[in-house]
Amino acid sequence: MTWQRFLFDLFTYSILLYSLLLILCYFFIAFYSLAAIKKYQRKNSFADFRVLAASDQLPGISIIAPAYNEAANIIENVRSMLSIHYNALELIIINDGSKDDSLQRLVTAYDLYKTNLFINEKIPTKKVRGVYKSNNSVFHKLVVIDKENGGKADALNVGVNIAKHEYIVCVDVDCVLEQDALLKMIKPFLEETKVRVIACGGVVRIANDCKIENGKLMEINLPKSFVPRVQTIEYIRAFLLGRMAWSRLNGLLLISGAFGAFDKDIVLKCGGYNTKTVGEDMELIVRMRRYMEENNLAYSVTFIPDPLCWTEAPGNYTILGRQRNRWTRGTIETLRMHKKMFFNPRYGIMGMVSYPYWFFFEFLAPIIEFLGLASFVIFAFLGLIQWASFFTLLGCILLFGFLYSVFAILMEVLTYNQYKQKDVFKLIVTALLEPFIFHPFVVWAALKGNIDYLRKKNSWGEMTRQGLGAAK
Amino acid sequence: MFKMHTLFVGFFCYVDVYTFMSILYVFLLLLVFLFILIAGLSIYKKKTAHNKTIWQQSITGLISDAIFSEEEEIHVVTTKKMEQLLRKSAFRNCLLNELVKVKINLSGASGQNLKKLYELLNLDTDSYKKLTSSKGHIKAKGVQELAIMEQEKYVKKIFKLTNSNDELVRNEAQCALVGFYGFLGLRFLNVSTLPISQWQQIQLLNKLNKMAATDFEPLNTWLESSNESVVIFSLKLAAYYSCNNMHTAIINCMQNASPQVKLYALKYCKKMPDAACADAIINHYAAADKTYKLAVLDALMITGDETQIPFVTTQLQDEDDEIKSAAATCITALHPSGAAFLQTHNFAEVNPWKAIFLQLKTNRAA
Repeated sequence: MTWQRFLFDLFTYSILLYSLLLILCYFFIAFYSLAAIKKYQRKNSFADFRVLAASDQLPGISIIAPAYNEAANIIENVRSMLSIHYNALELIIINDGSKDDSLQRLVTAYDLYKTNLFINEKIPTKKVRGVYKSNNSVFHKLVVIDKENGGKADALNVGVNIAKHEYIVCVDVDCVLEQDALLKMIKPFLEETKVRVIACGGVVRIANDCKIENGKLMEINLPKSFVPRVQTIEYIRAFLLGRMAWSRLNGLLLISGAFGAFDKDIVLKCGGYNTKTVGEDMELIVRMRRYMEENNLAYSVTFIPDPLCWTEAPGNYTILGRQRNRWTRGTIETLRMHKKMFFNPRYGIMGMVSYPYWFFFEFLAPIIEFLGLASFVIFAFLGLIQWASFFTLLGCILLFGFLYSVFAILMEVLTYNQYKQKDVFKLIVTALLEPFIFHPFVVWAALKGNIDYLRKKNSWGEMTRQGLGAAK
Repeated sequence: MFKMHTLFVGFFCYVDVYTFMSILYVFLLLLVFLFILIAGLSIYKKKTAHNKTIWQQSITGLISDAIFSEEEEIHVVTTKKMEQLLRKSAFRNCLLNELVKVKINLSGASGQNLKKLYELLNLDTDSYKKLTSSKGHIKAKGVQELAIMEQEKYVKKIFKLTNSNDELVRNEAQCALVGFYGFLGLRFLNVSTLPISQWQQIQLLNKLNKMAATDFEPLNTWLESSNESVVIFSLKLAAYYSCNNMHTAIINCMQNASPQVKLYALKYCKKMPDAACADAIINHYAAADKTYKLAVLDALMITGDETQIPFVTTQLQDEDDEIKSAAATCITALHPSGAAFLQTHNFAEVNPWKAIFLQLKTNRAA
């Protein structure tokens, strides 16, 4: 065996083994999520959320929604959140030093006055300039905080400091929540008797081209343009399959920053959101879990498959690139901060399964994919590729990717069936195109994220949105 | 340079193009299977929806005739078509679901008429069949249907399920008992050994809503239960029904090892203030954790009087700002001068007290 042959074999076998492991993981996730969704749906069919919404026995929830330069839609967004069906609700809007007139608009629309609220700064934050409440008793649930700009994590920490209820729900201010979203989110915290539920995630769905009136979702439509449409499939795959499976395994490491519920006591004990990372949502969950593991406390992080939160997905490649770049940097930062857990049995499932999975198949995947592609070009140039075998293997990989997406679509049809029949067909066609048009871009954006991380770039990246109210 | 005739000839095994072809075929077959499933499922869902639309007319007719019937007995117009439909299990299930949905929102004569219709069409046997199923979710559905349709004749069987290992079945059986007998239906708490989740407790309290109760004697037994969740639920019940003769038993609960039990005992004291409570609350303060201390200060606002002011004032010096704030709020409620009393302290102009007192002053003014 020549050394070239040895190196070639070593490389190709490593890539093959990696791909096989990844495919096995996906098979496992797909089948493991099935039972979790089924169980959830059966259980929830017995709960009458409509009646329970008015109950005064439910624990209080504080919604925390940071806002930065959201003047265009903030009035409608706040109105939408105030109309959510839940008795003991507090809505905290944090104006994170917006450069526009968000605060003034809120003051005028909701008849706000500045109050002398004592803030017990359990988590250190940037300076709070003022706390506002409404003169109008109709808006008694609303609290508006004006603070110096400090980023999303800092704004959320102010909300955690001020929240008066024992559970907090962190949302993006531009999200549209279903009316019974809070009831469904709080249920897992209340029905668990053996362990303490420290956080619960909910499905985020894409609202581009959906009909939204007065902050309420009136009609669900599939996005017309390709970029948000392909993200619809991504989200179905990630939320309906991935997170449900990880939740069943009690190995969930990420709850979307757009919509997640937390046990405030544990959030405070962990020191709140980390302001030094752009992946503050994932980092908080990992830290909360780590706290529970290190203190030998029984806990779980749950996830519910109901589509409860609707958000606008990036509509073009520029914005999408920034988003994926940030996600990659957030993942690397979180993994690095908690590297102690890597294959550390002390951290149970999280240390032995979740963390390694994220390291190998979320963080390393785009790098390995790029290396594979680069090697392929070199091997092809050197004449080392047998093309018949190459195309067969390529077919296998592409087909598996498509298979996984189709399975996710099937699960959607089987469970919530949100889209019309012709839209399901469109989704399948989009899934077929995804590996050729969308996926290479996502890999490229992730690679840029790695490079930016090495360059110590830590900006959020401007996320320009069209606004959901504008959707026709 | 060598050229690969197979894709991989490795150290231990041999993988050629045909292996990958086989995998490709398996994936293709799976894909075809998934397509068939999606198409089949879409057709099935469409067909079910179509059937439901067609049946809806007959079902609405049956239900509205029953609701508005003024006769003692319910009569069903038995056309041939209806007879055929009633033999179909899918139709019966659809009718049953609709009946249950309507019955939840109806009481009085209309509700009773629906119950009669349910019995007339022998739908209780359908529900009972579900009750005897080995699958938990089906069994729970059967219990739910029988409960909503007020089928008390099955109560013995349902009672046995109130301590079932299957959580769904157990919860529905407990709700059914409360649905039948109100507070008296809670007798399952005597034998309940499995935990009753907070969610289930809320559901039960919701079922008890507007159901009158007079004899609260069983609460004393439940407060001494070895099942922690039963004790907590009993404390909630005592507060819910404003039972004003339970203070001694509830003060005893403050010595319970469970922090949750202590917290709910405090909540009762807050709801039903009593002079004995205030002293008992303070007795357990020193060794308690922060959550309990905050709850004590909160409860003292209602249960306490001027005699507790010296104790609460000492809490203004606590290390934790949250406790300082809670103590200040409590003093404002207990002292006749309210927030003005706080300003008499020499530290009133020093932060964090200054900020806390200012907030209380503003709140009072508002």
